[in-house]
Amino acid sequence: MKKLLGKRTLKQKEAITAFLFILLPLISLIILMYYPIIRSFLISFFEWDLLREPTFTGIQNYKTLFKDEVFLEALGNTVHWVIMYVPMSVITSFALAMLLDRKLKFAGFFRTLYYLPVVCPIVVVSLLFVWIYNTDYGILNFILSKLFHMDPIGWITDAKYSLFSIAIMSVWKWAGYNMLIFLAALQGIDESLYEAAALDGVTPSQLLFKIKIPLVMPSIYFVMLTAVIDAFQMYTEIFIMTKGGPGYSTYTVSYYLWSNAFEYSKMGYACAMAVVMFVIIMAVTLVQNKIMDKRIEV
Amino acid sequence: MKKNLKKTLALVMAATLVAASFAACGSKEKEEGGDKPTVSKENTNWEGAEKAAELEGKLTYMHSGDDYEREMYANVFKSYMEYAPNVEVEQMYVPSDYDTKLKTLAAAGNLPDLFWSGEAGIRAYNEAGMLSDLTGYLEEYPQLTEGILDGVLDFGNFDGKQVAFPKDWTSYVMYLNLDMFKEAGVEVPTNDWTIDEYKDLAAKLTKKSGDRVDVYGTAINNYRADWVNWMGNYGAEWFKDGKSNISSPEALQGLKLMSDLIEAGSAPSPGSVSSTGESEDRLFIIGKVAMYPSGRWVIPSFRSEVDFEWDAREMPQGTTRTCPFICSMVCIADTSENKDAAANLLSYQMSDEGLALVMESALSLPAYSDLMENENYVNTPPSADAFINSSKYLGNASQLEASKTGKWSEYSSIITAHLSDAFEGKISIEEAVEKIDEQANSTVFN
Amino acid sequence: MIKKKRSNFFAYVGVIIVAILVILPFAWMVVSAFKSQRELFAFPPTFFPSEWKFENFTEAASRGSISFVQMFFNTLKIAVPATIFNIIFSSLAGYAFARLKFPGREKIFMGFLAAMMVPFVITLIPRFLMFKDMGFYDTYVPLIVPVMFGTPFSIFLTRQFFMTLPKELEEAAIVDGCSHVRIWAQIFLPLCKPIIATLTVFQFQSSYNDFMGPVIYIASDAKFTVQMGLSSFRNSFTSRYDLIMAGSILALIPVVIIFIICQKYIVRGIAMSGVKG
Repeated sequence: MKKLLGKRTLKQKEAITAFLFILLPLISLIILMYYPIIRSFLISFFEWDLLREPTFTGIQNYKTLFKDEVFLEALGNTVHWVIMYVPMSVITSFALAMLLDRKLKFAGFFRTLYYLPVVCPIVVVSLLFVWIYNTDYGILNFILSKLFHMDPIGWITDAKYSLFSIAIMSVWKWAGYNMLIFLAALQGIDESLYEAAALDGVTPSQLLFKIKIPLVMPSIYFVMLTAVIDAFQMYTEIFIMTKGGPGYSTYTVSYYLWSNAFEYSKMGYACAMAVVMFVIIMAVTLVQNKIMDKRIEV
Repeated sequence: MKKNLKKTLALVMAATLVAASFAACGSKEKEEGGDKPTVSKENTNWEGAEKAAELEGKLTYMHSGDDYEREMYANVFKSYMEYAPNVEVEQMYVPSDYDTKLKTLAAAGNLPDLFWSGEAGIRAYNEAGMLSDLTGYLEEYPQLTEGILDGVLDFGNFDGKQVAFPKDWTSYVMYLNLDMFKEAGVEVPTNDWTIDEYKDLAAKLTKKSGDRVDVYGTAINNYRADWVNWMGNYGAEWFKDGKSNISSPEALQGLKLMSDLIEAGSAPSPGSVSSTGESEDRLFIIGKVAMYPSGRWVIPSFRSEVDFEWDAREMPQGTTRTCPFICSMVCIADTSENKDAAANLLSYQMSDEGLALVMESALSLPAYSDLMENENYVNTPPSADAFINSSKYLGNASQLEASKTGKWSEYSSIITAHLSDAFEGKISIEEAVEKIDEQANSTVFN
Repeated sequence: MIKKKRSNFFAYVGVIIVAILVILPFAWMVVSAFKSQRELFAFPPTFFPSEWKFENFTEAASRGSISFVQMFFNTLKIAVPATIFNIIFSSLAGYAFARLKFPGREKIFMGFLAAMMVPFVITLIPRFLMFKDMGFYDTYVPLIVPVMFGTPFSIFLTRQFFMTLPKELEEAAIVDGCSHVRIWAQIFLPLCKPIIATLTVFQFQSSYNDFMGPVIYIASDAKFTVQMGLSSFRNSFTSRYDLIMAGSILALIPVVIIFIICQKYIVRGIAMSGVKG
């Protein structure tokens, strides 16, 4: 009896400590995120131009949304983007981290170098790449034509390449970011594990797939999830580089959402879009969660 | 290695700081010198001077633009405060995302006393009752409307109430690379040239080596000024009775000119970013385009960067002529506690003296016919004729109607999207205009 | 031994190839910062400027109603407190989510995660109204407070890192009767230098590079940040690429310095080898 009670208080103590640890973040989350989020959720049932009083329209915004061809196209583009960009980005940054996760001379120098693009403001990077990619006077087409006598390619003006070109830019911009997360995780692996593996005569590929990847799985999961979330929120790049064009080929959900919220003054509609987007990302997260849980256990 | 890198960085940092402080001194000198018109209260012709001396209070003036414009308006406010020593003007300069900020402030009921808004954005603020009626002030300050260009007030006039005032305007003209005309042995067009002559010239000035185009005869922008201009020059009623009417034959004819030029290889296909005109500006500057349509705003960068002879002509005429209206309008918030002072400041900004401080930069044009003829306000190069002439046919009925629906930005993004498909050759221009009308009339103007 | 040398040789080759790919666009940016606006867009392009225009840097630094240095210090006023407090609160919460058991843990954590999925534009106006009503318009408070008490991203990141550490770490300490605050401060924090260094870099840079937040909340130009200064080299029609590039490079320097300092800590935790996994 006594033992049980003692155990209970220990448990309770732990719970109280935990709540104290998360208290301020939680309060901040509720006031600064959930209160606005709930307001926006309610706004999704209204028509609101930000200036006049909102008028209640029920589920009209949602009905319009699923018939809105631009939204559906933007959704398709975003999914296309996720499928193209997320694996490219995760693999590149993991490879970079693997490359630097060893005792190299000048390791710090290379890390800094790889991280440089991350530091550049996204507006500046977008402007830089608009210019590099320019069909007529961009340096990329210039180099390609000098080296391979290629005809100029409309990297961001041709619907065939535009999304891909932006993805390449994003990989360049963000690879260093996720590399750092992987690097921190890889450096956290206990060295004795490597020693034991070396003694057992484990091959490098076994080391990678049987030891390194499973051990840094939480970080891989983190990077994949944040990459998906970022993909759904990509806005500045599109705004500066293509304004959604040509046609609707680079409209993404968040670009269309922004346009509706502030340019078209349809805040209610934009909020409905955010709700749908939220449901989709949440579903992806839960699925990812399930798969990852299994993998981590294995 | 690491240590060296750190040292280098520290050095660079230090050098930056030193350089920055030197440069700060330099810019001050510039301000003191110069031949800017000086303020003199005794012999001013500004009608509001007397009243200004009596006014007091604090005004906030919010505007956008780049750092040059910030400096320009800082000067306007500084000289205004010499007339109105008891009025404190606080300049709220917004370097980016101006419309987002303006809407956020409006939603919070926190609008500044005076602020800018694009010509198509005013209706929403007016309907929400956020704008002061300036009609009374136009009577109090007759100079505000004396000799004002025909039609420019219409964009800020709702139900007979003037709720926004055009601070300036920017014409739309054709810039010419004169060296290329000389090289090709082609005569430089005069202001009365026609669209057919323009097409011919564009083809003649295009230089190809094999399949590759070295120099394009002309360029187009997938931008509202180009649309309004080409459609309007064929007398199109492209927006009519609250509906998009871009598939009407005249409108199609105007837009088809744009796609024909691309198809003929006389103009490059415009990037979708050319909604800002930016990338196409560059083509003219680096000598890859011989004739380039744009607004007055390109002149400062053309003057400093172009290294050939250049000039401007009116846009070529079709069956008629029109000039798109692109402008920021000044509004006074209804919540302002110092409306009289705000109107007084507006009247100063629009006075000959206030405009002199702004027009020197050649970013825009004065909205008054007498100042249009004055070379202190419309300075050269390029020659002023094209700008002066275009002020006589400024404004387009369809643009006015479409702007005042309050749904212009949504409408224009539909036009941009389908036209860019047409310019890329994905669909024909005939299909594009059909799609625009169908989508706009079913989703925006339903 | 030979094998290891060979693998290191290939690693060097790989590292250098990647470095070249990374550096090319960046180098283009750097040489552009030294060109005149006219030469920038010269066609055919030249790589090195015919005349190195150091004036671009002085002009970029002195434009604006306040100097670049002042803007830099303004930005520090936001980025420094935001970063420091964010790391403290996020790592505490991350520790709680990773190592402590309490009712509703998974659900509350999901609540943090979910907040990451809501676009900024949606919360912009309600948040603005709140800060304005509290009298914080035109102050740095709305730019610091939402970050300082921990962000879902940082909490998630620290939690994931703490999860990779072996359980035995705190078990002994708990048996000895150590409080969780002590375990966090004396065992976990020293071990997670890599992740704290990473987070410092991320958080500093995200506060430092934010441009939308300051544009919305800051009104007086004496409070302008570096990114607002950079935006003022563009208007809706033209960009001064020469000044943007030069200004960006100046703006990069502090962040790069922070990175160089922090990246030294992204190394294998020393204490780790003592604990058997």
